[in-house]
Amino acid sequence: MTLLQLTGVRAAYDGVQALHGMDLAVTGGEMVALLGANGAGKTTTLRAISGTVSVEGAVVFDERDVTGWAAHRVARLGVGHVPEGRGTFVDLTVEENLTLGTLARGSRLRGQVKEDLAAVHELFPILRDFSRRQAGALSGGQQQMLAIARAILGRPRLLLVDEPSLGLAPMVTTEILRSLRVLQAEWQLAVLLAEQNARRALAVVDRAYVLESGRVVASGSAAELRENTAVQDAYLGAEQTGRPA
Amino acid sequence: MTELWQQVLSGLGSGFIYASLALAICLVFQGTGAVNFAQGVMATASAYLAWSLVSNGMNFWLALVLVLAASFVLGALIERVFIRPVEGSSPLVMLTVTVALLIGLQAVVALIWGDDPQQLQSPFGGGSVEVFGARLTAQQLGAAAVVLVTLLLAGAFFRFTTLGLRMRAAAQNPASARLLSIDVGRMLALGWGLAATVGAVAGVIFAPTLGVSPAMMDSSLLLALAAATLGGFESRGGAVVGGLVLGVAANLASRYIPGIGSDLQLVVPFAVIFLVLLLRPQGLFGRVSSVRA
Amino acid sequence: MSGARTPAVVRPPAERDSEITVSTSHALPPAPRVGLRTAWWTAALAVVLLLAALAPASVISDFQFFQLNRVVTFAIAIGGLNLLLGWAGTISAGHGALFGIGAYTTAILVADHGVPWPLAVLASLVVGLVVGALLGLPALRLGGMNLGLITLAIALLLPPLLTRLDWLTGGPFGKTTPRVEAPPGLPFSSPQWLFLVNLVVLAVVFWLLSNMLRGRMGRALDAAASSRVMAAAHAIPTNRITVAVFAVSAAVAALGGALFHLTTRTSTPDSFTFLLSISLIAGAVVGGSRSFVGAIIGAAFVVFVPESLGGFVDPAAAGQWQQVVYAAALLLVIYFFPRGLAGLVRQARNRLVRRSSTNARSQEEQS
Repeated sequence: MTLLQLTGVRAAYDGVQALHGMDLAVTGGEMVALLGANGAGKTTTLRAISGTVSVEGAVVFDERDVTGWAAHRVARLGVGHVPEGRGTFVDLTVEENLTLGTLARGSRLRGQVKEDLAAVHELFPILRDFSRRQAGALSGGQQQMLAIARAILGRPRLLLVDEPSLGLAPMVTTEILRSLRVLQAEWQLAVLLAEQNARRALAVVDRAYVLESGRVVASGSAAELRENTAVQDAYLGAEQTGRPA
Repeated sequence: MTELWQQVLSGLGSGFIYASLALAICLVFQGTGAVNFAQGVMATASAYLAWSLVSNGMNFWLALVLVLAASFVLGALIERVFIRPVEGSSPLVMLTVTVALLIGLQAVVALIWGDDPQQLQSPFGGGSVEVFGARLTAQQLGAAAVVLVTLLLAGAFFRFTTLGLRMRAAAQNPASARLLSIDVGRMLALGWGLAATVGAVAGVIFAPTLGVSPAMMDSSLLLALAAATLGGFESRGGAVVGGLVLGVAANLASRYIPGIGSDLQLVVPFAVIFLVLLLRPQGLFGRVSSVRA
Repeated sequence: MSGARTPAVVRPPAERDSEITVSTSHALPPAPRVGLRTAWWTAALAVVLLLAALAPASVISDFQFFQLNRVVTFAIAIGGLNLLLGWAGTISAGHGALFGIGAYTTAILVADHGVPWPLAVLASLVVGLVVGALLGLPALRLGGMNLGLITLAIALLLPPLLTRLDWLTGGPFGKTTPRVEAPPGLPFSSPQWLFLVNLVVLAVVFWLLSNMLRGRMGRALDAAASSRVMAAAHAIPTNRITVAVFAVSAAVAALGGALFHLTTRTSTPDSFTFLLSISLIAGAVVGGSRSFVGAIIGAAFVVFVPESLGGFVDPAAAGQWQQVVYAAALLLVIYFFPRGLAGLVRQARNRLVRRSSTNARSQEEQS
């Protein structure tokens, strides 16, 4: 069943066009990557879905046309977004950051907060150890974990994750992506992951779209894309792909 | 010694006015980034409303409750109507809007209720109480107690309730708050409403001492601004402490420093903040925040 | 429209002001792209001056000149305030007080020390510069909004101080000086003569300021206002520049105040209350704080709007209605014309120009 459908989505910042007719779909429970270089439109695509940039075209989530909706209303429908820059509430404690996550969930799942919190703590023990600490005092990787945990505690049906590897050591990124995969399977969550590091992303996702200048230029299963020579040349070329951030 | 103690206590008494207005100013600043110059005159409007109700025979406390509710609505409404169009603008634009609100609302208050000062009866009666050798009127003590309770309630609200947490989140990182399905616009309006309510408590409960007039809150507003600067606009607790400190300092200075009468009492808080800002630009309790270009 | 007209225009009424105009001619580096604009303004000024000088009393009464003098002196002060609001990105809630300091300096020097008024006006300028630098110095350590708070303190403290220091200021009754008469032989009434003087001062000051803003100073200010961090990264000393600009701005406000005193002849503590500071801000915002034409429009707003209310409302409540009008005007301008009325005028002009040029271009393209 199609959970998310983008049809001919266009978006612009200050008159500069960032998306030129984007078409993509995500089915419930699958993990999909958006690959592409800096400026290809990955972040804007995620923002178009969560309603944090104004768009033309159609964004349909769960059979509802959410084009032009305010961000908080889209979030209420079950779209979680781990934004670029992690969106940490720096002056609040780690615990408070996570509570904000649980407050975002629908009333149906309110009873389950405790178990979910325990599951998240098990996955990211550091968040339990530092629960009273100010979130701004965490390291980059810890803040990334916090951001994912916060978004996931809202029990979204679709989680948008923007460049979790940005500025992190490869080991940490791998750990975070693996945790994401675990949660995704356990909570039957659809994930749309924007990632510059194609090799690493293709190691965990089911499918991927390759973006260039605000358009989809290739798509397929992770295995297909790994084999695809054109994609290899463009995005997987050397062992160290993607520019260091 | 007793004389000094007496002056400290009565300074603390007026310090509570500055503290609550300063808290209100902080709430608004944290939410919308506006230094609200109209905070004082909003409290003045509340005081006039209470005076109208009481002078028509209503019980003081019932009037207070009604006025607080009305002030909440008025504050939220002002945010929706006047601040929303310039949300996210530069501090200068925000400041100009609140200055416009100040002069406009003050004039409207004067047009409705007239220029002549009115007297509101103290709900605490005319008695006085002795506190460790100093004599305080029941009004001074009662008003301070009511404001103290209000400040504690406000603190508890932000610390312990989920709505308070949501409001803090919306103030701190609105973009991120929206992604967690927080309606930031509503939180900002709530913040203004809450600020107006806190200010209204001070305006109404101190009205018997200050007298009800269009200018009743003018000097309090300045001291509150000074207090917020002193405590750091980011720190609610700091603003409250700043208000109390300035209340005492202003009272002691006008009593003990020759040449400073009540007309130049304002020199004191500004001298204090001048010094504080030179030594600690982020305020006494503020944090240095790193800025990204 | 050649620059050759400039001296011909400035010279006639400037005999006594020669110290101002002469000093300007070599103090300035040659600024680019000024020529044509300057020529236009000089011509406009020349026409106004000529009309004012020749106008018989039946056309422009002394009272009207008196009002125009208030407009021009306010415009000078608002022009100074614009440096802060429009370019330095900071605010002064105390320019009414600086205006008052200028007025009192001239009043005291003329009334008690027999100083000739042109010298007294210059002294006001200097006093304003010094006071401005002293007030601006904390800005070396503080951000812009704190400067606003300090200026607020000055605005509120000046009136009680002026009342208190009666040995210097004459207390609540203030200072009164004799009427400024035109030089013997010139057929001008006193307000008419002052109008000519004020207008020339306004022109010279605005010319100097706009040259200053077109140069290095202006670029540094723009950089600092858009991002202090970026400016600092480019080694632009934002704080020092802010202090310098604040001092200049204060000096200009004091100059306006000095001329204002010559017009009203009496300065009392309650002429320079907080409401005056607010009025100046209102004028700056309504006119458009990045424009010197805006300063003149704003000053006209400050002087004539309350005046025109007089006929419609209960005189006892006139002050309140004036405040309501200021508030409404401020809000309307901020919401709908963020560049002020001057910006509106410029926008309309640009639209006309663009339309004619695009018409021309589309014709070219079609051919």
